[in-house]
Amino acid sequence: MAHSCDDICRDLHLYLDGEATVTSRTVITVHLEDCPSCAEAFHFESQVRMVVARCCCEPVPDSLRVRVLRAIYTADP
Amino acid sequence: MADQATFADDALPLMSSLYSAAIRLTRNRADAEDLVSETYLRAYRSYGTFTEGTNLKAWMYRILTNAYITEYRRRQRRPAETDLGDVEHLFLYRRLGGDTSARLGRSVEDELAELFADHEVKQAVEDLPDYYRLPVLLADVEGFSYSEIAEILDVPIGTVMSRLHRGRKQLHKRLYDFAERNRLLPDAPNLQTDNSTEPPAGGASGPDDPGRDHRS
Repeated sequence: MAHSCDDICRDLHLYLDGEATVTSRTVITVHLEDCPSCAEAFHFESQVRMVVARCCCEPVPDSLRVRVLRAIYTADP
Repeated sequence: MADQATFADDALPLMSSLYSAAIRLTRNRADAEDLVSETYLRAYRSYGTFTEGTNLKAWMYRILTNAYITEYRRRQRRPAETDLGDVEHLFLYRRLGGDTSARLGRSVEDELAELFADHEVKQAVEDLPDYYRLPVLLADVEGFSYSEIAEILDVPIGTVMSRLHRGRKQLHKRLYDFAERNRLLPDAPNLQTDNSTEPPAGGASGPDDPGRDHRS
């Protein structure tokens, strides 16, 4: 059965989340190989996620590590 | 049952991801540090109830989320959290992607970096209402599965999916607003194409980091 680009893009997030069913995953993977415009949409969405994930990473200040360790070691069990 | 003696070794490697989430939740470093510290203390005290071999990261996030909701959310003076209403599917891609002729030889990531600055991406996440921000952070930043997020937030999987769906759309709408503003005001100082000029994270908020601490 042929799947329209709308069908494929509707499941884009499920696919990128790794939550699509095995069947759906296969259908999408096959479609993306032959459809540059859907492949581009999927790539764009995955890149936006990567940018968001990268921007949200914050290095932990040493003072916080020390504070947490101290809290644990001095806490009543 | 987990042994409290191994807690530090088991749980400390998760701190950078917990701290990153805490900043996006509390929107400022001082509260984020308090929240992480509180999370570790609570986790340490109840470590005996954690079943070894199950998902420690999800367990820690559940404690962090509960601590945030019960302690920190109500003590914060909240900026307006607006629900932007429905946004069409693939909103951002339809407006900013797809223009291949204009970006021959450029990666999507390079293109996105020119559309909005890192601090604007953080701002866009922080502008989401809690019920969208939490699932978006857990899925898109931490890579938790739907069922793990349902467990962490104590809501059904269907709720996770619909909040994620709408939350991502709102996030993309905010990103688009930043991109539009930057396009209209190309000389505005808020867009840095060279991210290395950002002040070191963990330091005080600088002029490049507006609104980091909403209490100021």
